[in-house]
Amino acid sequence: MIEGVLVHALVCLEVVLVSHLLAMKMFTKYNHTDERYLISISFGLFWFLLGLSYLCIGLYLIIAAYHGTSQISSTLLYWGFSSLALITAPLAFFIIQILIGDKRVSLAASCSFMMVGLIFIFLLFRYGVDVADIGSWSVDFKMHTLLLLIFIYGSYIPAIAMIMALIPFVALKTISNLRKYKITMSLISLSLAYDFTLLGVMNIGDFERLLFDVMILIGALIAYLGYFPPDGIVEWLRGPDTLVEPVDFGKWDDDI
Amino acid sequence: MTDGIDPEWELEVAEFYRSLGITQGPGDVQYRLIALVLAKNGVGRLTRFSEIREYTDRVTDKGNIGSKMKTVFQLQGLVKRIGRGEYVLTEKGAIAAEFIKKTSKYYSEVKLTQKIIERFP
Repeated sequence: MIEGVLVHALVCLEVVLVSHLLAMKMFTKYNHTDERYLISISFGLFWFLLGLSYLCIGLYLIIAAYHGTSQISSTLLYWGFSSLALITAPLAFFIIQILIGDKRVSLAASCSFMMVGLIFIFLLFRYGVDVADIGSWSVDFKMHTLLLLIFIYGSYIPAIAMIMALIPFVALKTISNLRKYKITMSLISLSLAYDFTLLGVMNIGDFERLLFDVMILIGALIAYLGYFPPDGIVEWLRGPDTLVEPVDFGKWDDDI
Repeated sequence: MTDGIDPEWELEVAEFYRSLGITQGPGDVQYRLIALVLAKNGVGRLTRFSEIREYTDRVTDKGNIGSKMKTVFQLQGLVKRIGRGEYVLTEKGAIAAEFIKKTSKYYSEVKLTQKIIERFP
Protein backbone atom coordinates (compact mmCIF):
# COMPACT_ATOMS: atom_id res chain seq x y z
CA MET A 1 0.00 0.00 0.00
CA ILE A 2 1.32 3.46 -0.91
CA GLU A 3 0.08 5.99 1.67
CA GLY A 4 0.93 9.06 -0.44
CA VAL A 5 -1.19 7.85 -3.34
CA LEU A 6 -4.05 7.14 -0.92
CA VAL A 7 -3.80 10.69 0.44
CA HIS A 8 -3.97 11.90 -3.16
CA ALA A 9 -7.02 9.70 -3.76
CA LEU A 10 -8.64 11.20 -0.64
CA VAL A 11 -8.10 14.72 -2.01
CA CYS A 12 -9.69 13.62 -5.32
CA LEU A 13 -12.71 12.20 -3.48
CA GLU A 14 -13.07 15.46 -1.55
CA VAL A 15 -13.16 17.27 -4.91
CA VAL A 16 -15.94 14.85 -5.90
CA LEU A 17 -17.88 15.57 -2.70
CA VAL A 18 -17.69 19.35 -2.95
CA SER A 19 -18.22 19.62 -6.72
CA HIS A 20 -21.16 17.19 -6.76
CA LEU A 21 -22.78 18.93 -3.79
CA LEU A 22 -22.42 22.23 -5.64
CA ALA A 23 -23.75 20.66 -8.85
CA MET A 24 -26.82 19.24 -7.11
CA LYS A 25 -27.57 22.58 -5.48
CA MET A 26 -27.15 24.43 -8.80
CA PHE A 27 -29.49 21.94 -10.51
CA THR A 28 -32.26 22.75 -8.03
CA LYS A 29 -31.53 26.44 -7.40
CA TYR A 30 -34.05 27.83 -9.91
CA ASN A 31 -37.44 26.86 -11.21
CA HIS A 32 -37.48 25.78 -14.87
CA THR A 33 -39.49 28.88 -15.79
CA ASP A 34 -36.72 31.16 -14.53
CA GLU A 35 -34.45 32.81 -17.11
CA ARG A 36 -31.41 31.65 -15.14
CA TYR A 37 -32.48 28.00 -14.97
CA LEU A 38 -30.38 26.73 -17.91
CA ILE A 39 -27.42 28.91 -16.93
CA SER A 40 -27.53 27.44 -13.44
CA ILE A 41 -27.86 23.91 -14.85
CA SER A 42 -24.84 24.43 -17.14
CA PHE A 43 -22.72 25.68 -14.24
CA GLY A 44 -23.82 22.67 -12.20
CA LEU A 45 -23.05 20.36 -15.13
CA PHE A 46 -19.52 21.77 -15.33
CA TRP A 47 -18.85 20.86 -11.70
CA PHE A 48 -20.67 17.54 -12.06
CA LEU A 49 -18.39 16.51 -14.96
CA LEU A 50 -15.31 17.70 -13.09
CA GLY A 51 -16.45 15.72 -10.05
CA LEU A 52 -17.15 12.65 -12.20
CA SER A 53 -13.67 12.90 -13.63
CA TYR A 54 -12.17 13.11 -10.14
CA LEU A 55 -14.30 10.18 -8.98
CA CYS A 56 -12.73 8.01 -11.69
CA ILE A 57 -9.22 9.33 -10.97
CA GLY A 58 -9.71 8.92 -7.22
CA LEU A 59 -10.87 5.30 -7.59
CA TYR A 60 -8.01 4.67 -10.00
CA LEU A 61 -5.53 5.99 -7.41
CA ILE A 62 -7.06 3.80 -4.65
CA ILE A 63 -6.71 0.69 -6.81
CA ALA A 64 -3.19 1.73 -7.82
CA ALA A 65 -2.20 2.33 -4.17
CA TYR A 66 -3.22 -1.23 -3.17
CA HIS A 67 -2.74 -3.34 -6.28
CA GLY A 68 -0.62 -1.27 -8.68
CA THR A 69 -1.71 -0.38 -12.18
CA SER A 70 -3.73 -2.82 -14.25
CA GLN A 71 -5.83 -2.86 -17.40
CA ILE A 72 -9.06 -2.59 -15.38
CA SER A 73 -7.87 0.35 -13.30
CA SER A 74 -6.59 2.08 -16.45
CA THR A 75 -10.18 2.06 -17.75
CA LEU A 76 -11.05 4.39 -14.87
CA LEU A 77 -8.27 6.74 -15.98
CA TYR A 78 -9.74 6.82 -19.49
CA TRP A 79 -13.21 7.58 -18.14
CA GLY A 80 -11.72 10.32 -15.98
CA PHE A 81 -10.01 12.00 -18.91
CA SER A 82 -13.11 11.55 -21.09
CA SER A 83 -15.25 13.39 -18.57
CA LEU A 84 -12.59 16.09 -18.24
CA ALA A 85 -12.57 16.60 -22.02
CA LEU A 86 -16.25 17.57 -21.96
CA ILE A 87 -16.20 20.23 -19.22
CA THR A 88 -15.77 23.17 -21.61
CA ALA A 89 -19.12 22.47 -23.30
CA PRO A 90 -21.28 23.46 -20.28
CA LEU A 91 -18.87 26.27 -19.42
CA ALA A 92 -19.30 27.75 -22.91
CA PHE A 93 -23.09 27.67 -22.52
CA PHE A 94 -22.82 29.23 -19.05
CA ILE A 95 -20.67 32.20 -20.09
CA ILE A 96 -22.13 32.88 -23.54
CA GLN A 97 -25.69 32.65 -22.26
CA ILE A 98 -24.85 35.18 -19.52
CA LEU A 99 -23.17 37.56 -21.97
CA ILE A 100 -25.43 37.26 -25.00
CA GLY A 101 -28.64 35.75 -23.65
CA ASP A 102 -29.40 33.91 -26.90
CA LYS A 103 -29.93 30.17 -26.35
CA ARG A 104 -29.19 29.28 -30.00
CA VAL A 105 -25.78 30.99 -29.92
CA SER A 106 -24.93 29.49 -26.53
CA LEU A 107 -26.04 26.04 -27.63
CA ALA A 108 -24.03 26.27 -30.88
CA ALA A 109 -20.89 27.27 -28.94
CA SER A 110 -21.51 24.51 -26.42
CA CYS A 111 -21.96 21.92 -29.19
CA SER A 112 -18.73 22.97 -30.88
CA PHE A 113 -16.82 22.43 -27.63
CA MET A 114 -18.65 19.14 -27.23
CA MET A 115 -17.29 18.14 -30.65
CA VAL A 116 -13.76 19.07 -29.56
CA GLY A 117 -14.28 16.96 -26.44
CA LEU A 118 -15.55 14.00 -28.47
CA ILE A 119 -12.55 14.24 -30.82
CA PHE A 120 -10.31 14.25 -27.73
CA ILE A 121 -12.07 11.12 -26.39
CA PHE A 122 -11.81 9.38 -29.77
CA LEU A 123 -8.08 10.10 -29.97
CA LEU A 124 -7.63 9.21 -26.30
CA PHE A 125 -8.90 5.68 -26.95
CA ARG A 126 -6.97 5.50 -30.22
CA TYR A 127 -3.57 6.58 -28.92
CA GLY A 128 -4.05 5.52 -25.31
CA VAL A 129 -2.35 6.77 -22.16
CA ASP A 130 0.90 5.12 -21.13
CA VAL A 131 1.00 4.48 -17.41
CA ALA A 132 4.69 4.55 -16.61
CA ASP A 133 5.19 4.22 -12.90
CA ILE A 134 3.56 4.60 -9.49
CA GLY A 135 5.26 7.39 -7.55
CA SER A 136 5.05 8.20 -3.85
CA TRP A 137 2.07 10.53 -4.33
CA SER A 138 0.73 10.03 -7.85
CA VAL A 139 0.68 7.66 -10.78
CA ASP A 140 2.99 8.75 -13.54
CA PHE A 141 1.39 8.65 -17.00
CA LYS A 142 2.22 9.92 -20.45
CA MET A 143 -0.37 11.34 -22.80
CA HIS A 144 0.10 11.68 -26.56
CA THR A 145 1.28 15.18 -27.61
CA LEU A 146 -1.70 15.58 -29.95
CA LEU A 147 -4.09 15.02 -27.04
CA LEU A 148 -2.27 17.62 -24.98
CA LEU A 149 -2.44 20.12 -27.83
CA ILE A 150 -6.17 19.51 -28.28
CA PHE A 151 -6.73 20.02 -24.56
CA ILE A 152 -4.68 23.24 -24.49
CA TYR A 153 -5.91 24.88 -27.70
CA GLY A 154 -9.37 23.36 -27.96
CA SER A 155 -10.40 23.52 -24.34
CA TYR A 156 -8.10 25.42 -21.98
CA ILE A 157 -7.35 28.62 -23.96
CA PRO A 158 -10.95 29.20 -25.17
CA ALA A 159 -12.24 28.54 -21.64
CA ILE A 160 -9.81 31.03 -20.08
CA ALA A 161 -10.72 33.60 -22.76
CA MET A 162 -14.42 33.14 -21.93
CA ILE A 163 -13.75 33.43 -18.20
CA MET A 164 -11.80 36.66 -18.82
CA ALA A 165 -14.80 38.12 -20.64
CA LEU A 166 -16.65 38.25 -17.31
CA ILE A 167 -13.85 40.09 -15.46
CA PRO A 168 -15.04 43.68 -16.32
CA PHE A 169 -18.30 43.05 -14.46
CA VAL A 170 -16.41 42.75 -11.19
CA ALA A 171 -15.31 46.39 -11.56
CA LEU A 172 -18.84 47.76 -12.04
CA LYS A 173 -19.76 50.43 -9.51
CA THR A 174 -23.48 50.01 -10.02
CA ILE A 175 -23.77 46.52 -8.54
CA SER A 176 -23.81 45.46 -4.92
CA ASN A 177 -20.87 43.89 -3.11
CA LEU A 178 -22.83 40.65 -2.82
CA ARG A 179 -23.14 40.34 -6.60
CA LYS A 180 -19.48 41.28 -7.06
CA TYR A 181 -18.56 38.60 -4.53
CA LYS A 182 -20.57 35.98 -6.40
CA ILE A 183 -19.06 36.88 -9.79
CA THR A 184 -15.52 37.10 -8.40
CA MET A 185 -15.76 33.77 -6.57
CA SER A 186 -17.07 31.97 -9.65
CA LEU A 187 -14.32 33.41 -11.84
CA ILE A 188 -11.61 32.45 -9.35
CA SER A 189 -13.02 28.95 -8.97
CA LEU A 190 -13.24 28.38 -12.72
CA SER A 191 -9.72 29.70 -13.26
CA LEU A 192 -8.32 27.48 -10.52
CA ALA A 193 -10.15 24.45 -11.89
CA TYR A 194 -8.89 25.00 -15.44
CA ASP A 195 -5.33 26.06 -14.61
CA PHE A 196 -4.61 23.16 -12.30
CA THR A 197 -6.46 20.65 -14.45
CA LEU A 198 -4.12 21.62 -17.28
CA LEU A 199 -1.07 21.19 -15.06
CA GLY A 200 -2.43 17.81 -13.92
CA VAL A 201 -2.99 16.64 -17.50
CA MET A 202 0.54 17.77 -18.40
CA ASN A 203 1.77 15.36 -15.73
CA ILE A 204 4.26 17.66 -14.03
CA GLY A 205 6.00 16.17 -11.00
CA ASP A 206 4.78 13.68 -8.41
CA PHE A 207 4.03 15.57 -5.19
CA GLU A 208 3.21 18.63 -7.31
CA ARG A 209 0.23 16.79 -8.78
CA LEU A 210 -1.18 16.29 -5.32
CA LEU A 211 -0.82 20.05 -4.79
CA PHE A 212 -2.58 20.74 -8.11
CA ASP A 213 -5.53 18.65 -6.97
CA VAL A 214 -5.54 20.44 -3.61
CA MET A 215 -5.84 23.69 -5.57
CA ILE A 216 -8.77 22.25 -7.54
CA LEU A 217 -10.38 21.30 -4.23
CA ILE A 218 -9.90 24.91 -3.08
CA GLY A 219 -11.44 26.05 -6.39
CA ALA A 220 -14.50 23.86 -5.82
CA LEU A 221 -14.85 25.19 -2.25
CA ILE A 222 -14.59 28.78 -3.51
CA ALA A 223 -17.34 28.08 -6.07
CA TYR A 224 -19.55 26.59 -3.36
CA LEU A 225 -18.95 29.50 -0.98
CA GLY A 226 -19.54 31.91 -3.88
CA TYR A 227 -23.00 30.63 -4.66
CA PHE A 228 -24.05 29.56 -1.20
CA PRO A 229 -22.26 31.99 1.13
CA PRO A 230 -22.51 31.60 4.90
CA ASP A 231 -24.76 34.12 6.69
CA GLY A 232 -21.72 35.86 8.19
CA ILE A 233 -20.30 36.69 4.78
CA VAL A 234 -23.71 37.86 3.51
CA GLU A 235 -24.13 40.19 6.51
CA TRP A 236 -20.58 41.49 6.12
CA LEU A 237 -21.07 42.20 2.43
CA ARG A 238 -24.41 43.90 2.95
CA GLY A 239 -22.86 46.16 5.61
CA PRO A 240 -24.40 47.90 8.63
CA ASP A 241 -27.01 49.74 6.52
CA THR A 242 -29.31 46.73 6.63
CA LEU A 243 -30.96 48.34 9.67
CA VAL A 244 -32.53 50.81 7.23
CA GLU A 245 -35.76 49.60 5.62
CA PRO A 246 -34.77 47.95 2.33
CA VAL A 247 -35.99 49.70 -0.82
CA ASP A 248 -37.74 47.48 -3.33
CA PHE A 249 -35.76 47.79 -6.54
CA GLY A 250 -37.29 44.65 -7.99
CA LYS A 251 -34.74 42.88 -10.14
CA TRP A 252 -32.10 45.42 -9.22
CA ASP A 253 -31.79 43.87 -5.79
CA ASP A 254 -29.82 40.75 -4.89
CA ASP A 255 -31.62 37.47 -4.90
CA ILE A 256 -29.59 35.47 -2.43
CA MET B 1 -38.69 55.99 -37.85
CA THR B 2 -36.41 56.15 -40.85
CA ASP B 3 -34.48 59.18 -39.63
CA GLY B 4 -33.47 57.63 -36.33
CA ILE B 5 -35.97 59.26 -33.95
CA ASP B 6 -38.20 56.69 -32.33
CA PRO B 7 -40.77 58.23 -29.96
CA GLU B 8 -41.42 54.86 -28.24
CA TRP B 9 -37.72 54.41 -27.54
CA GLU B 10 -37.41 58.01 -26.31
CA LEU B 11 -40.37 57.40 -24.01
CA GLU B 12 -38.63 54.30 -22.60
CA VAL B 13 -35.41 56.26 -22.03
CA ALA B 14 -37.30 59.13 -20.40
CA GLU B 15 -39.12 56.69 -18.11
CA PHE B 16 -35.77 55.25 -17.02
CA TYR B 17 -34.47 58.71 -16.06
CA ARG B 18 -37.74 59.56 -14.35
CA SER B 19 -37.39 56.39 -12.29
CA LEU B 20 -34.06 57.82 -11.09
CA GLY B 21 -35.78 61.03 -10.02
CA ILE B 22 -34.58 63.01 -13.07
CA THR B 23 -37.89 64.43 -14.24
CA GLN B 24 -36.55 67.30 -16.37
CA GLY B 25 -34.32 67.16 -19.45
CA PRO B 26 -33.40 63.48 -20.02
CA GLY B 27 -36.44 62.38 -18.03
CA ASP B 28 -38.87 64.54 -20.05
CA VAL B 29 -39.97 62.85 -23.27
CA GLN B 30 -41.24 66.13 -24.74
CA TYR B 31 -37.88 67.81 -24.21
CA ARG B 32 -36.07 64.80 -25.67
CA LEU B 33 -38.16 64.68 -28.84
CA ILE B 34 -38.09 68.44 -29.48
CA ALA B 35 -34.29 68.57 -29.01
CA LEU B 36 -33.75 65.58 -31.30
CA VAL B 37 -36.02 66.85 -34.09
CA LEU B 38 -34.28 70.25 -34.00
CA ALA B 39 -30.86 68.57 -34.02
CA LYS B 40 -31.89 66.40 -36.97
CA ASN B 41 -32.21 69.55 -39.09
CA GLY B 42 -29.04 71.11 -37.64
CA VAL B 43 -27.90 74.43 -36.18
CA GLY B 44 -29.32 77.46 -37.95
CA ARG B 45 -31.70 75.38 -40.07
CA LEU B 46 -35.44 75.90 -40.10
CA THR B 47 -37.63 73.44 -38.19
CA ARG B 48 -41.40 73.76 -38.41
CA PHE B 49 -43.66 73.16 -35.43
CA SER B 50 -45.64 70.68 -37.54
CA GLU B 51 -42.48 68.64 -38.03
CA ILE B 52 -41.92 68.46 -34.26
CA ARG B 53 -45.54 67.41 -33.80
CA GLU B 54 -45.10 64.47 -36.16
CA TYR B 55 -43.05 62.87 -33.42
CA THR B 56 -44.58 64.35 -30.27
CA ASP B 57 -48.25 63.71 -31.11
CA ARG B 58 -47.82 60.04 -30.24
CA VAL B 59 -46.77 60.81 -26.69
CA THR B 60 -48.31 64.18 -25.79
CA ASP B 61 -50.76 66.85 -27.03
CA LYS B 62 -50.14 70.00 -29.07
CA GLY B 63 -50.64 72.42 -26.17
CA ASN B 64 -47.89 70.88 -24.04
CA ILE B 65 -45.36 71.07 -26.85
CA GLY B 66 -46.17 74.70 -27.60
CA SER B 67 -45.77 75.55 -23.96
CA LYS B 68 -42.47 73.63 -23.76
CA MET B 69 -41.11 75.47 -26.80
CA LYS B 70 -41.92 78.80 -25.22
CA THR B 71 -41.06 78.24 -21.56
CA VAL B 72 -37.95 76.10 -22.00
CA PHE B 73 -36.47 76.18 -25.49
CA GLN B 74 -37.07 79.86 -26.31
CA LEU B 75 -36.57 81.15 -22.78
CA GLN B 76 -33.22 79.36 -22.37
CA GLY B 77 -32.03 80.33 -25.85
CA LEU B 78 -31.97 76.80 -27.23
CA VAL B 79 -34.05 77.86 -30.25
CA LYS B 80 -34.80 81.13 -31.99
CA ARG B 81 -38.34 81.78 -33.21
CA ILE B 82 -38.18 83.26 -36.67
CA GLY B 83 -41.83 83.14 -37.62
CA ARG B 84 -45.19 81.61 -36.74
CA GLY B 85 -44.43 77.95 -35.98
CA GLU B 86 -40.88 78.27 -37.32
CA TYR B 87 -37.75 77.78 -35.23
CA VAL B 88 -34.00 77.44 -35.71
CA LEU B 89 -31.68 75.58 -33.37
CA THR B 90 -28.95 77.62 -31.68
CA GLU B 91 -25.46 76.32 -30.79
CA LYS B 92 -26.59 76.13 -27.17
CA GLY B 93 -29.55 74.05 -28.30
CA ALA B 94 -27.21 71.75 -30.22
CA ILE B 95 -25.26 71.13 -26.99
CA ALA B 96 -28.53 70.20 -25.27
CA ALA B 97 -29.46 67.83 -28.12
CA GLU B 98 -26.02 66.22 -28.02
CA PHE B 99 -26.43 65.66 -24.29
CA ILE B 100 -29.82 64.02 -24.88
CA LYS B 101 -28.23 61.65 -27.43
CA LYS B 102 -25.57 60.72 -24.88
CA THR B 103 -28.21 59.95 -22.26
CA SER B 104 -29.76 57.46 -24.74
CA LYS B 105 -26.39 55.78 -25.15
CA TYR B 106 -25.90 55.67 -21.40
CA TYR B 107 -29.33 54.09 -20.93
CA SER B 108 -28.52 51.43 -23.56
CA GLU B 109 -25.28 50.58 -21.75
CA VAL B 110 -26.97 50.39 -18.36
CA LYS B 111 -29.77 48.23 -19.77
CA LEU B 112 -27.32 45.84 -21.43
CA THR B 113 -25.14 45.54 -18.33
CA GLN B 114 -28.13 45.09 -16.08
CA LYS B 115 -29.49 42.29 -18.27
CA ILE B 116 -26.13 40.49 -18.12
CA ILE B 117 -25.98 40.86 -14.35
CA GLU B 118 -29.57 39.62 -13.99
CA ARG B 119 -28.71 36.50 -15.98
CA PHE B 120 -25.93 35.61 -13.57
CA PRO B 121 -27.27 32.68 -11.52
